[in-house]
Amino acid sequence: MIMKVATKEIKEMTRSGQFKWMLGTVLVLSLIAVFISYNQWQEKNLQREQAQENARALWLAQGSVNPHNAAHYGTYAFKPQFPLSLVDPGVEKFTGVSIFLEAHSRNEADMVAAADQTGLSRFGDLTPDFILLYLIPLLIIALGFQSVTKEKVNGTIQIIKTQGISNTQLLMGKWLGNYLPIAVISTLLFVLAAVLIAATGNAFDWRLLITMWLIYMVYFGIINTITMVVSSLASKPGVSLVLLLATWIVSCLAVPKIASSYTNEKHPYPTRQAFEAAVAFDKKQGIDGHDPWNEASKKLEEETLKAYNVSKLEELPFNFDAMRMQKGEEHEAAVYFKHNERLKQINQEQTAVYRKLAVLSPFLPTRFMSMALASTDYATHWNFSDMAEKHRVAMQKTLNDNFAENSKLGEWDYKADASLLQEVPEFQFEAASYNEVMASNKSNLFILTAWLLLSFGLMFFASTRI
Amino acid sequence: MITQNIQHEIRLLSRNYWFVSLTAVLLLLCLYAGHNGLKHFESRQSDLIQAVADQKDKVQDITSVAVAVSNGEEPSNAYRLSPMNMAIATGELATMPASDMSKLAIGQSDLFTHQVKISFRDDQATMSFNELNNPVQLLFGNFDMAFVLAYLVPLIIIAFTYNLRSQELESGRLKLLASNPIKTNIWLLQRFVIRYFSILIILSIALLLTVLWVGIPFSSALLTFVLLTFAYVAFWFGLSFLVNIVGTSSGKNAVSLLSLWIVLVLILPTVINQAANTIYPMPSRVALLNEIRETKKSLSEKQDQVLDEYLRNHPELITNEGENAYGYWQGFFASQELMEKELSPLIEKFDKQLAKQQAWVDSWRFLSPVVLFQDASTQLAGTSSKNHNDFKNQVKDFGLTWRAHFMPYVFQNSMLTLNDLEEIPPFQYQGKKGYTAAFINIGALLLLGVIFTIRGLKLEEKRQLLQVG
Repeated sequence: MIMKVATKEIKEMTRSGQFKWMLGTVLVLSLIAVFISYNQWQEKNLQREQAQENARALWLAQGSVNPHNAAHYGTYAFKPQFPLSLVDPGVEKFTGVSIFLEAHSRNEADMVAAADQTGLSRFGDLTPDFILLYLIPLLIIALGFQSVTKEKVNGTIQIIKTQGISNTQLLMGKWLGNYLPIAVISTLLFVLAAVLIAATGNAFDWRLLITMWLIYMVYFGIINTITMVVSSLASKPGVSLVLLLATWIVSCLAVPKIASSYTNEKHPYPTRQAFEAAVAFDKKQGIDGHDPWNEASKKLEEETLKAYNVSKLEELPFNFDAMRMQKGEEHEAAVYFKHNERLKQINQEQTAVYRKLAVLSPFLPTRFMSMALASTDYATHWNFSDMAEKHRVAMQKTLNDNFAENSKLGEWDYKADASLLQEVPEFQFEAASYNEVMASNKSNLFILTAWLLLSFGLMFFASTRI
Repeated sequence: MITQNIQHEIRLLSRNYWFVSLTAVLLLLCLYAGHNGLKHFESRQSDLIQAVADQKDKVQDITSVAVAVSNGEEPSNAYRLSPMNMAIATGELATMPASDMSKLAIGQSDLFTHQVKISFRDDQATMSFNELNNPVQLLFGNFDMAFVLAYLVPLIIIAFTYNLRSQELESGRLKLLASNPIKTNIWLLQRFVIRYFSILIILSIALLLTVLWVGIPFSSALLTFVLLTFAYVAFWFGLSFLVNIVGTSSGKNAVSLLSLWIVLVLILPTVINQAANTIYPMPSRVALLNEIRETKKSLSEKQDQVLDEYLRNHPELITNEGENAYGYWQGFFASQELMEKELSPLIEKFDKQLAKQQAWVDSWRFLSPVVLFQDASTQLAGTSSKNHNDFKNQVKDFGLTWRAHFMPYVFQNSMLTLNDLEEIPPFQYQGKKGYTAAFINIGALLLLGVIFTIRGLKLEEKRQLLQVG
């Protein structure tokens, strides 16, 4: 019975010119989106690979060099582009992709793509995620808003009922008839993406793509169910359409914007300038690796002399200059850690608010899950920034230790062997694993499931009111 | 006829439950959007005031040292009067204050920074103008007045006009009307005009209340913003008028108008943006980094030669006093200047490409009313990309002025005096209001609205003649 209704719905759709027109538009837009994204994605892949190689080559090309000069010369950490960013570039446009690793300072990720674009970039990009998150829900609404209302207005509902079908069966059939074409189109989009990713030979966890596909299927399921509910309860197709569109605008446009304005008002970040000033202030309170007259440096000097039981710095078994620099580096790293932890604290508060507000609209949990699975969310960016800092701190220690062990006090023209540069490993960044992503997105998953159950509950309620 | 029509429409509207409740909703939306704009403005201003005060304290500290020195004292912190301390550690704070109008359109002001510390050592090639921000917030955007007006108001207009003709047609009253000695096109136009002015009055009240509440002083920018809103509303009324006349049933009208909304507001801006990025792709910033490093490296290898060359070009900077006349900083700036010269064509490529993208967007903006609205409203609010680009260029220019000012002191290795402190150039942001662009956009929106209306009038006139004949 259910299948019969569904088949009838699909047959009707394929015969309607309006449907062909809408489906055609969405398909063309999807293909354009995938094609453009794929080109840009490949180009970026290439750019970052080359940049990473270049940066390493430049680092090694220094040859025999003073370790501290090498530390100042520094190198770059690049954030790799993960395969699924082809489907959902997430917040990538607004976060930097490279971090300069040098002595004494933790630098912020630089090169924000959005800053290199016009103001129009804020309207969004024509990428697959835009199609999936905004346009397909609209397509569902356009196809389904009058699916039950139409029967009521035309009086055909009575005829259908005489065939011995229950309201629930009728609604399930209508639901399926509206859902299947959408499911097919979106699945095709995912298959296309999978083929393109596989063609570039990127090894990655397929569970990520499959879960992402499932998340979108659930998202579409929720919207389809809401469409059926409104279509069953509304008396006229016009009313049904207006109500559904209002729901769409509220869930996909208004709620995210309200969430972002509200979150920013409750838990604002400091400005970059204030953040840097606070870091600079704290840095001054401790050891300055380059300033032997600094109070903390004097104290370190006394303590070290005492510990080694010698009276002059020259008598120490290592280069005290380098040790002071390392201590300074440690102090600075601690200052950066403290301030970044504070930022992270604010970010966690912000994330908590976003998660709570995700209850208001199925768009939000889907948006967050999708970005997280594509490794293009803010958490991935924080992770990258932390890993880069860890790498920087280890790099400074390697260089300073070499300096301390192999030179004498004041021997600023000491040059380490070129092999020292090899000892600093190349920066590697891995995205969170599938299990980690799923574990950190439990609340989104829960809210999405709750939405699915709630909407089906509503549909069964609506089936009693036809 | 017109007085009867007005009376009839007003009676209809006042009895329309939806109309009354949506008016209330619109008012609430405007006030909430105003609240968000105000909060954004306040946090931006308080950050700015704090930063300016901190900077003032720093300068004050140095001035007091200079005063002590000029009185013949020898303070222990006299080293702070070194030109390097003033030019690097103290520096100058370049700020871009928020205009009151930014409470209506937050625009790009959440992406870019409004206070930049200018130091003598700044690297023009890698200066960052991005604000510390949660990228999720940037992705979602803000719920400000510009959003309510650009996205939500057209939908309210559609909801109130989509069936003005078709309803009469469906109920059979249109034939009755057409049989009277009146022109149905003029009758329909009157209905639209009356509804247009009703919406204008409601919007004006909502805007006025919001403006009073969030405290925006009356100015020509505000007036232009209101005109822009009226023109934008006129565009949507014109479009709905045409669709009403072309369409045959209420249901089809609603679907057509909503599809137009989706295409014009949602899809076209992203397509124009995507096209700009595809046709004028940005060169790789990542590659630029390596380019910068290679240049730096090759210059540092021939440091002495660079300094010689530099001094040959700047003979006024040569001093022969003391052994350390040509110390670290002299060499640093000599290579800095040379590096900037070598890198400037690369940096310019980015600016040129962005200018091309902007030109592309500017010429295609007429395709989408929402792009016209966003462009004009953010320019009036001083929060458009163009405004931030202006700030960026002014900061970079000032950076060069700052460097040029301190260069002689560095090469002479002399301490600053009280007089020298007074001569330090201050930074002043010169904001521009984009009235020209705003009026072009207002003109374009009105013109499109009028074209749709005239087209509709002609179609309906022809139809009535055919029916009567």
